[in-house]
Amino acid sequence: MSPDPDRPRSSVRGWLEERFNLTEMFSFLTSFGLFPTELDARRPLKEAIAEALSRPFPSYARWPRVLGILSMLLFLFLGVTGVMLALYYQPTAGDAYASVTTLVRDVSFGSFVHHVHGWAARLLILILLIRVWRFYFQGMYKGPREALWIVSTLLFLVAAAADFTGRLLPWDQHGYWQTIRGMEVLVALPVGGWVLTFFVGGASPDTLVLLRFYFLHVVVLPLLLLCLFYLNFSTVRRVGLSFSPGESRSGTGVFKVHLYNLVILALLVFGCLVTLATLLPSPYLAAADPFNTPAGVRPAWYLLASHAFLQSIPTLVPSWLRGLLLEAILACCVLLPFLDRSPGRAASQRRFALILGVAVLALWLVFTWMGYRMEVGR
Amino acid sequence: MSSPLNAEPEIGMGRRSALGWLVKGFLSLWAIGAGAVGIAFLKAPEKEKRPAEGVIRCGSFSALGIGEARFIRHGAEPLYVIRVSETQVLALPAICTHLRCVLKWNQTRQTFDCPCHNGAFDKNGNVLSGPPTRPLAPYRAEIQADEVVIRT
Repeated sequence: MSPDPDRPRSSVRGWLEERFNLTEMFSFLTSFGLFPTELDARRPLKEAIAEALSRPFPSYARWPRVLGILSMLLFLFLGVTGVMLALYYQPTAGDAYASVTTLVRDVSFGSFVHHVHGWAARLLILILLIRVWRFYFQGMYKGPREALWIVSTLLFLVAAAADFTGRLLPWDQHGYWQTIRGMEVLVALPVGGWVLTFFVGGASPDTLVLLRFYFLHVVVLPLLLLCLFYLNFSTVRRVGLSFSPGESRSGTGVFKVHLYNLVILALLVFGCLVTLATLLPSPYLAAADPFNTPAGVRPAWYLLASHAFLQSIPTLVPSWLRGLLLEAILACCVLLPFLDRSPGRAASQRRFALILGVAVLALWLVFTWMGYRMEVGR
Repeated sequence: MSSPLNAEPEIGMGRRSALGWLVKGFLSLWAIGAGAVGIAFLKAPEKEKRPAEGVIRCGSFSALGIGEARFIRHGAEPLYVIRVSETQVLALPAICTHLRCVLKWNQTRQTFDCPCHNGAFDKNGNVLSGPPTRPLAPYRAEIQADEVVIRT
């Protein structure tokens, strides 16, 4: 097979192109939110890109489609700062607190990296939650976006798990007791609780639990998140960006605009993280003491509602049934596209779903408030 | 596809499917075995909930004033030793029966207070207020030559 005469044989790209499928590689690498459409992997890279860019598209680094790329950016910041923190952190019950203290106090920019990591995590799960609600109210779980919905809900759940496991790692009083409080909610659940008890053991964390949380936090959950982000953007590439009914499609632009938007967004996110990390560093109490429960430590905010919900059902109902109910509700949320059989995306076509959504959101807020009050310290 | 192959499918197909099932069976047995090994390997080791069988020495009896409680850091479950009279001590787990927070002894009110949900127990371990429903299960405590000893 003779090489294409149009291809510049002398260039590095041409040399590589004969040995690798660069288009396929580029397509994969840019499928984490950078490139809007699929590329034709049989064509040379330059042609494929030119062809893809000739199709105008609305930049999804702008409201209201910004949330996906925003969470990906935050995940990137989390990855970078997480790797930096891992260079100093020691995951044993005896050394963890001392290593984090050293990092925060003595290492140049150590406290900055530590707090940026914490704030990026908080913003990430918040944005993923907002994104799920936006998808719900705009009906974006309707075909062909069922996969997008499922992946988005799983993204939130896995990000929350990563946040939960991360809170234990500094091994300070706040994180330690927050983890115990959260575990009390989780181990009471029927199936999920059994799995957690099986792999993590009892409710009181020791070095073994810390090591397992650490492994989950730095290897398993980030890989899972990466896979989910990939699936998320792949399905968006395949089914196209969404337009709400009535929204004009005139907001189309060229790739350069999208790229500029992306850079601006990254700088804005970085600015927000720096500001938050500087002005509101996370509470950092003394080293964890298993024999002293500090007052006023609540479970992580996303667990407050579930705790209040479990407590609000009369004790007549056995606790495993309450837990099962909670898990059933969660499963229904993930599998929503197959449960909501309303005819279309428009608000008039799914009034029941919208009312249910408002009711669930209101109930969730009320239960969160109840959980917040219930966990009051003296 | 030539016709002679299709002409006598019975024996050949039967053998082929049997072989296929054998391969599938072998692979699934292998997968089950490997999965079981992995899960058994990952199982968290058992932890002692109550203090281990035996004797816990809780320090001097006379050093403990009447109405005072001593916090004993023992195993995964700390406990309190309370002197209730001239000759009597009580031993109670220091773990709230509601959600397993560590209780604090309130000297003035003579109660165990939970810092998590404002539960309270009296010095005998009975629930006074708050969300706990079960009382604290006491240990058997005795005094041996001015030393408080708990036998479990």
